[in-house]
Amino acid sequence: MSPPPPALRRVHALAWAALIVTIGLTVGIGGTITSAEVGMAYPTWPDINGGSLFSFFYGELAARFGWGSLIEHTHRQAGALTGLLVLAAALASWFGRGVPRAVRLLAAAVLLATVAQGLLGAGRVLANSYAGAVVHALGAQAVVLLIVALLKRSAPAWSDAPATGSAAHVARLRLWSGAALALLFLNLFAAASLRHKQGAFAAHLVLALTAAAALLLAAWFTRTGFRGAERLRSLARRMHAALGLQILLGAASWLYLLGPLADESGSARGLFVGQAVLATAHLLCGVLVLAAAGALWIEARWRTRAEEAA
Amino acid sequence: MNTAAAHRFGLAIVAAGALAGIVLILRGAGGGGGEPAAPPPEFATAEERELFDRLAALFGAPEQPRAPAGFEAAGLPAAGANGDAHLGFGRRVWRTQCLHCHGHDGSANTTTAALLNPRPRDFGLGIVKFTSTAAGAPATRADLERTIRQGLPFTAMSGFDALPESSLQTVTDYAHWLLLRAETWSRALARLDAGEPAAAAFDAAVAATLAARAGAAAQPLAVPPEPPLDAAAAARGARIYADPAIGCAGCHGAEGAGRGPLVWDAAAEKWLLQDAWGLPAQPRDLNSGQFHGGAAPADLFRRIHAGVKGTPMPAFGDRLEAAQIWDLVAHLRSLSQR
Repeated sequence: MSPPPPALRRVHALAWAALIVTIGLTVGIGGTITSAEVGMAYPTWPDINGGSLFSFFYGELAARFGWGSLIEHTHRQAGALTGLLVLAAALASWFGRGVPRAVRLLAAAVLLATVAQGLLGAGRVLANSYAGAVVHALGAQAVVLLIVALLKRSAPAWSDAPATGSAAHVARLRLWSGAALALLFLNLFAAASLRHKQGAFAAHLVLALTAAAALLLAAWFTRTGFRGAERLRSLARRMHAALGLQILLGAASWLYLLGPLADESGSARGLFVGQAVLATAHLLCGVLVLAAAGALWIEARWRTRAEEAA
Repeated sequence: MNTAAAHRFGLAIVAAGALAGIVLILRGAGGGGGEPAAPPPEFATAEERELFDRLAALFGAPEQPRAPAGFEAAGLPAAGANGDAHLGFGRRVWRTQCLHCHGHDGSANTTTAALLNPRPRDFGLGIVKFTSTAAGAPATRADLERTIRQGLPFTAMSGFDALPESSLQTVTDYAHWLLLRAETWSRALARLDAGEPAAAAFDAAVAATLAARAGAAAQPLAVPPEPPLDAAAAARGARIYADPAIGCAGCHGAEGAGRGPLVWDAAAEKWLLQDAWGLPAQPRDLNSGQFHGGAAPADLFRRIHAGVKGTPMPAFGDRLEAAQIWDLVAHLRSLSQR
């Protein structure tokens, strides 16, 4: 088997960088904005009270407009960094030799989705809209999933032999990983609504438990039906671990944000910081679960094959 | 359990869960966007408690507002079930749109507020900085509606013009109710502190709050026709600005940068004056062109004429002629256009 072309390796590396920046910085800081409720710290776009997106006046910004403005500003800058990385990935795929057409199309889709997501963020601020904030939150997850797809499709392992299992196991894994992904997205809508003060806690809880059941079944079918497929099984294990952590974080978030411990603290600020950290960690872990579920679905859909047909 | 059974059992569970989740989302059920519990009020004396009980009897509470009898002329809904329901709807809008910055009762005592500069308005004193009214006169309902609709430029207070009109009107009425309640409470507390009995202090406070909104005091300040704001006017304005008897440069600085010697200790790098809310009073940097109360000539005229309420920015309406104020407006505009 010939090694992947250098251009494809570059696209893959850039997709990794984009995923890390997007989850670790853009979504992380974006989640902090919602947790601290400073999404409208400055209601202007693209200018920032006289500064620009590429102003690095952090101290002055915090002093003049408060810490909320600083959080919002760094979120926009992280979003711009995500945009630059996916632009670089797209350029590397379009102008690189030997890059498959599917990778080029995926890179273009990631770029378009990232630009659209930036414009959604701008619209949310300019229209001062909670509904816009919910859509912006969902758009972030869509961008993460598209980057995961680019990452998988540009990986050297993509050309390895697909995992094999019985026809029934292949069908079930495809069904359950797809169902889990759809349920996670639906649950994200409920979660985003909850975080943006539109209620929906009961819907979030029911959908979270349902999505968890689907994820556990998908992981179980992976373990029982694809015993020799270490890549697939490893992915399912990672998803399993992220799901366990996410359930713990969800329970803690409920306890401290909505449940019996929500009002029991000597320090309102300490409680607020604790709540913001918990809510943001719960969000970030949810994104990791979604990314793992997306990767599992891509593997199941394109990288598995029924034994009978092998 | 074999995989086929798990598959069938899982399908049933997940289908039921997904259906229930979708129904719950569509019904908007589940809460969790709820209101933080109101902190219990604390009172220094029995008289203060009596005063608060009287306030609650007339106005209700922030989470359950009541349209107070006799305040229709001040711009609140008429007392009665309809008025209460109207304010209750405004409260629901307040909860989702305003509470995280301005707080449960408008006191802006939230951690989000602490992350913002300028800090969101604390309604507790019954004072609003930017009004259309004369010096010493309170804000009108129209002033609040303008601020809610348009926002305050270069602050975290964005405009809510995109809200449905009914929501915008009811939340404006609710904010006005909070302001009138706070103003009444502040006046009553001051009278109680001066030695008046609670009942008399409260009745007098209600009367004073209503009187402040009666007649000419509640009317917007009449702004005379705008003359040409040309270079000659700006030059005349610059002379007024630099006149020590007027004192603009003492606070805004000789160059208008907002750090004059009366307000800014350059050695210690700290602000010297405070506003009515106990926050550092930071005069506007006139070179920035960032005017929170609006940058239109009429806005600047009103601000110089009536001052900025609750801050050390005084009213100059009784010290300067209208033509001189217009000259100052021309100068301010020339500073921000340099």
